[in-house]
Amino acid sequence: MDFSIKQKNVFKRIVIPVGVVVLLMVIAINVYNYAPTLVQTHTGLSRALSNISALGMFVSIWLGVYIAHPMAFFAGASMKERFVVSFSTPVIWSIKLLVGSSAIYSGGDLAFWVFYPLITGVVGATLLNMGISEIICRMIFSKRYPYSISVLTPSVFIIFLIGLIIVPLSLYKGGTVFFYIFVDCYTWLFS
Amino acid sequence: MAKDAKGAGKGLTRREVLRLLGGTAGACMLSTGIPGFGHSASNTRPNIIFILCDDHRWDHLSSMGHPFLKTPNLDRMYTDGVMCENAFVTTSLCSPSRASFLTGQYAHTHGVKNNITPWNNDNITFLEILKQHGYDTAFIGKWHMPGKGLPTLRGVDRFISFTAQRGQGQYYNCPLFVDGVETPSRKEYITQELTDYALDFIRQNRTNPFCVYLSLKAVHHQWLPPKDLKGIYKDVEDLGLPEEADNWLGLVNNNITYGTLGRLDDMYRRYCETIVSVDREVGRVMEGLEALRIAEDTAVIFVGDNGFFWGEHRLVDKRWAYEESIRVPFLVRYPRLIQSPGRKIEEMILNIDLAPTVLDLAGITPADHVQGRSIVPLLTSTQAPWRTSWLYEYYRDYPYTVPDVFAVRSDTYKYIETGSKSYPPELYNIKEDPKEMNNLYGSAKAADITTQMQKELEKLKRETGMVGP
Repeated sequence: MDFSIKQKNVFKRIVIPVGVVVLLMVIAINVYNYAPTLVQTHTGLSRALSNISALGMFVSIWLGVYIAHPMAFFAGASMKERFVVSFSTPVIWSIKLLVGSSAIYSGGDLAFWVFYPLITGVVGATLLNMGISEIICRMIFSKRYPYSISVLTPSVFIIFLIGLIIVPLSLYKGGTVFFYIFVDCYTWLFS
Repeated sequence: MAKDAKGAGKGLTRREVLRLLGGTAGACMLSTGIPGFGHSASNTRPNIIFILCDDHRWDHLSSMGHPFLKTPNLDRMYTDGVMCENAFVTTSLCSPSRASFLTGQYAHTHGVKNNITPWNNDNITFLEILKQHGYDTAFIGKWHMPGKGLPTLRGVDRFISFTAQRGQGQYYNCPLFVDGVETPSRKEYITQELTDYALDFIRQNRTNPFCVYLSLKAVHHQWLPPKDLKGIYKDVEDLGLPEEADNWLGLVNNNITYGTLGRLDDMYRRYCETIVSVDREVGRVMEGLEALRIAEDTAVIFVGDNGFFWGEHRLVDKRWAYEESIRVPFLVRYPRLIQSPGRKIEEMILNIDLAPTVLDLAGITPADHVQGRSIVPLLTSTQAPWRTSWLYEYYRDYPYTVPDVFAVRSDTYKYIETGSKSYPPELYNIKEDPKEMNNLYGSAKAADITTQMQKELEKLKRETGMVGP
């Protein structure tokens, strides 16, 4: 820990924060996949479940940092641990995408899929969100506790900055520019 | 299928068609003088305009019973001509399908197997052949075939296209290459811009007949209508999307890889609004022909390059061999030739049939390399023997997560195989189960038909040269 906060056990530092967002993601995905089975008998309920669970999926994957990271932070997790916690659902989701892709591609094709814009996008978003969450947590910590800590350390700044660069690049023109660069690179390398 | 394409079983021979064309045109000249002289009117060889729409699925016309979409100009093409209601693409993907339209060949023959494998400029397009036979030709619009930039396309007097966004172009302010020269857009909206160029070409004084290949960017992904049409369907409550679709479908099942961030409803409304803009431009083309008095002497063909899923099978995009993906609108208006206008042709028409059809209309016998067959017999007769099955092929297109797909479709059944063990074969009775929800593969009662369709698939692969004899 880079400042004075009582370090709780690994269960509270890592397992619970990760468990909360992963559980949210798993429940949301399963509810979402179950909802269409109700569409003929309970159309309204089916639509409501779809909407709620889709929101749950989005929050757990793209904004899960704001849930898991503060929990880890205030449990005294180290920066490395906070990193692991923040990336839990984005990594699981990315692996899920890669597993889906592995039914079609293998070898270099599959390896290059790691640079797929959605994967780089979620990595960038997670870094950006982690940087923001880190700053907010440090501000709260400074107000709550009588310790003086720096709100914007070099590591936090770098995390925030990398995320800030990747996210707009990934999203520019709806992500199409980055996508075409990705495909051009693939074509250049593999065909 | 290719063997059948050599004119066997046609209702009329090419010579008879030409005689009919010549006779009709001649009668017209005698009765009305020579309307539109200087624009190749009343020639025995017709002017030809081929309009290729992008991702426009077969049932998205008001004349096909769409619940709210209004396409009066395309509907008029139907009432004045014919609608091929069972028209398909042999590969449901932009580049291969486009190459098939141009060459009359399957993807495994022309070589553009996906959006990455390059166009081979040794391929012979119907435009090149028309040019050799005295036509003035223009390719205007989306080329979108892999390769380094735009090719030096043989056989066209005018070649206008774009390279932005890997050849996809952009809806607004798309820079063009006009005969190789980069040119800023004259009109803000791409479909209007391309139509303007087409009309410019059509209006040129000439003695030769002309052929315009108008290849639209619309209604491809991003689905951006022109500003004056934006939001015209925003108040439609019941969009008629399938039950299995929900607003967030674009975010799951790897659908997100097709650029479908956002609500499905919103994207679908934009898709329909963009189709309206296409319809409007088709109307401008028809008005242009009428103003020149050559509408009767011009064959206008409107087709989609592939279909599109809007939630069916919980899918978005195309590529798979289901009907929503492979079935396209196919309208032909040519009053001089078409018998009983306003009818629907039920026979299974393919994208590879376009090139031989256009050549047939121009009185040219397609060369042996063409794998499709002319649909002229279907235009001139309500009864003409036709194919009873055809081959579908799709090759992996990185990074999209769709395996190689091979299928055979008959009037009644469709059998689908993939190149991945994760996707087992499928068999559907299309007549009884048009939405393809009940996979019969593996059921005891479908064993015979499964074997039959598997044999047919292998036969078609051999006949089309996909595999050795």
